[in-house]
Amino acid sequence: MTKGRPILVLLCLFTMVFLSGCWGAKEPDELGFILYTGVDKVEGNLLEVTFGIAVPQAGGAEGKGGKSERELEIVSVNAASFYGAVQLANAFVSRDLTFLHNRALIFSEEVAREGLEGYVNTMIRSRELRRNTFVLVTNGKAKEFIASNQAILETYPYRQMEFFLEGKKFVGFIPHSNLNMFYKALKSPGEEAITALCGVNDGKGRGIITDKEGEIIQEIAYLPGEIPRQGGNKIDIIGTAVFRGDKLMGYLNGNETRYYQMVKGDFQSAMITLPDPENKERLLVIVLKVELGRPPTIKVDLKGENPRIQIDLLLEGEIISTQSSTNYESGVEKAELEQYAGSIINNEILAVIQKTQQEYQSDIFGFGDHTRSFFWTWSAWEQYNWSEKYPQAEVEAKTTVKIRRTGLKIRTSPLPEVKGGEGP
Amino acid sequence: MDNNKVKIGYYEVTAIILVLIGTKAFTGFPRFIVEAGLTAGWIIILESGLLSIALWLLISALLFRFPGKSLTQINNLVLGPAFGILANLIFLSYITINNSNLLRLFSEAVILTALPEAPVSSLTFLFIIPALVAVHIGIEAIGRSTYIALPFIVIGTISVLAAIYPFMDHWQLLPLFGSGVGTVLTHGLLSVSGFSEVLILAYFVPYFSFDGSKLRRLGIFSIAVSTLAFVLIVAVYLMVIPVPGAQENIVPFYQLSRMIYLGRYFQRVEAIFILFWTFTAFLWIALGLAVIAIIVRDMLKIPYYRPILPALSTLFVSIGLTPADFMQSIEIEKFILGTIGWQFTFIPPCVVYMLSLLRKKGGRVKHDQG
Repeated sequence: MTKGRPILVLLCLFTMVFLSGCWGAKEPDELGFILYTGVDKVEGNLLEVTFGIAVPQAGGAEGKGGKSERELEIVSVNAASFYGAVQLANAFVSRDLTFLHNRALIFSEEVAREGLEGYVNTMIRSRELRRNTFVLVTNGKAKEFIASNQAILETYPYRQMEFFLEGKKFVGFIPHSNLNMFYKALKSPGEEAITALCGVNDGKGRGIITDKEGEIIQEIAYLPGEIPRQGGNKIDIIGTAVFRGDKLMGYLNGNETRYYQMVKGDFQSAMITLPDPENKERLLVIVLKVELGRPPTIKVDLKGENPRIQIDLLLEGEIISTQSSTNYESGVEKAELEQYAGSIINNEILAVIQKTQQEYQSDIFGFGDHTRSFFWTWSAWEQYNWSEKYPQAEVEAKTTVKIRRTGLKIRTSPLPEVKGGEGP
Repeated sequence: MDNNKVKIGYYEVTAIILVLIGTKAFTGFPRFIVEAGLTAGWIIILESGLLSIALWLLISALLFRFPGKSLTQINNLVLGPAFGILANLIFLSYITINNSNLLRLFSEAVILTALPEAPVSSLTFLFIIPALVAVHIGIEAIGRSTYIALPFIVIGTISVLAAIYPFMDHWQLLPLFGSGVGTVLTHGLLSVSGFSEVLILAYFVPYFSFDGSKLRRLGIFSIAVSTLAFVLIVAVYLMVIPVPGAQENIVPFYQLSRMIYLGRYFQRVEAIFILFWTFTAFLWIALGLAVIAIIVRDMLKIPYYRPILPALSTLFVSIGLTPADFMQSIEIEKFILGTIGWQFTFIPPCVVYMLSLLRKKGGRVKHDQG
């Protein structure tokens, strides 16, 4: 054994020559990392697939070489199939294109209306794409969206979409939507799929807002491209694309998305602006920051002719802003404000549900999943055909708002009489 | 190797059985179960586990009638040399085909998850050569390695299941009886072979350093813990990737690990999973090779198993590479575990037990007196 040991050691050392890599090994600088993929339809029933490929930082590490002019190289290829486009792109992109770091799949409205099943099946099968890849539908062209997007504040464009879709939980108008969620809902007999909605904003908005009273409650009722604004990134991500099966049926605006998320239980927090109930004629507003007090309670009853859905929602709030001198922080006024906010939110929720029932016939809330307990077997549940029953369902909602905090003020004192107020 | 000198401790044996049974969780096993029971997949596991415990009680009763003897020897004693060899061959053929197929499945799974360009033959060698070396060193060494590895495997598995918690939705476990009561019960019966590795205890009896009376408890404990683990894994799988999508994934546990996302700084962790998964696969193949070598040695009544290891390894690789493609391998695994496995594993020893009672062979009192 002792005699053989040096030979064994030499043999091991010699083996290392052959262990320097494995089949299929690739260095990072051989790869072209696709960060965004867009799918459009073009003439001849061809696909136009757009890739946003990360451009390596010029000069090496951040801070030394600084940012290169562009973070993304945008290329588009027309092909008969998705992977056909990927293959063709390799004809003019020097690096091997890979989806390992792809963060978002963006489908154009046209493609989404035709149906996404084929694309989603392809992507779920992929070894490179992950199920937590974000899925978005744009109300324009996917190519335009990717080209217009500028990661203005980001050193790493990779993070941008993550900030939008993971980090913006405090606004409530960007729904969380990834490949897994879409696929799960697509295949479920009890739920329909959604995606986040995005688009290009050319700075025109949807026109000048003149009716302030009407606009207060609908403060964020925008679709992408409609937000009246100037400057900044030229894209908007706001609202929800609603599907029935794999086909796009329509959109929910930012406001509706917020209420959709409340019922779904995905809502984290948001600031809601309401007309001041005591000072409506002066067009004053109250801003509440609300969050889910507990997951919504949803009960579905299948005993009657039509299914009955009952939603019980508890929201907890904090007063962020009041413009009047009314003391909403305590007493009767606080109770009135809670009731007022609850009734407004309740009506909005019912309106959104009604829209999905009548306009889209699509149960994006997943109420159908709550009917599972009525059936012993999968086939019986499937045969019940919830998606056909949903539009006729009778929906009741009860929203309770409880104001738990009032910011740094405990009460609001009116202006002195000498200054035109009501006095103490 | 002289088997009279080789002894394995209680905890090592427990670890071996747990790894042998539990490794299936990292193959397509959870998917077969979901295919059979849909949302009631976890009930199938529960039923199979309870049934396996009942069958193990019968088999351990057989072992008690012949203290210190392995099932190979018992088969010869009860059935006579000719039928004894036949009974041993039944289990041997089952475990050889099953192990060889698993060698292929794990090799293919590595291609699928980590080394997409590697030829399958190179990966089968990657698994079989270390297994061959390990078995050559001895069953004690494998036992100790398994004992040391088990906590890491358990921690790894629990970590994946815990990290996937944000994706769970308990509604996805309903309707309760999934594919229907009859179908669930039938598949629960057919799937007992998922726990058939407990039988290896019966072949390892001469190697135990502990009292044989603990055998029954060890088997029950191993099956119970494995049942719990399988139920948990299938339930989590169903809650995260519900039916019908749950029927689509080639390697469910890998798919779960790929989905872990606990913020930007804790994602893409499946590489860690691949490490402990590959190590578990290696242990499984080594243990399988050791078991087969021991059975063959006992059957042929030769003193050592080392000389037959290269031949058995070649047989493993040859059978493993026989299926034309990955899909065929998966079908074989499904057929073995979900349809015919129980006939080759639990049934023969139970029949031998009945015969030993009828023929009044063995028996603790008689043996002690003798």
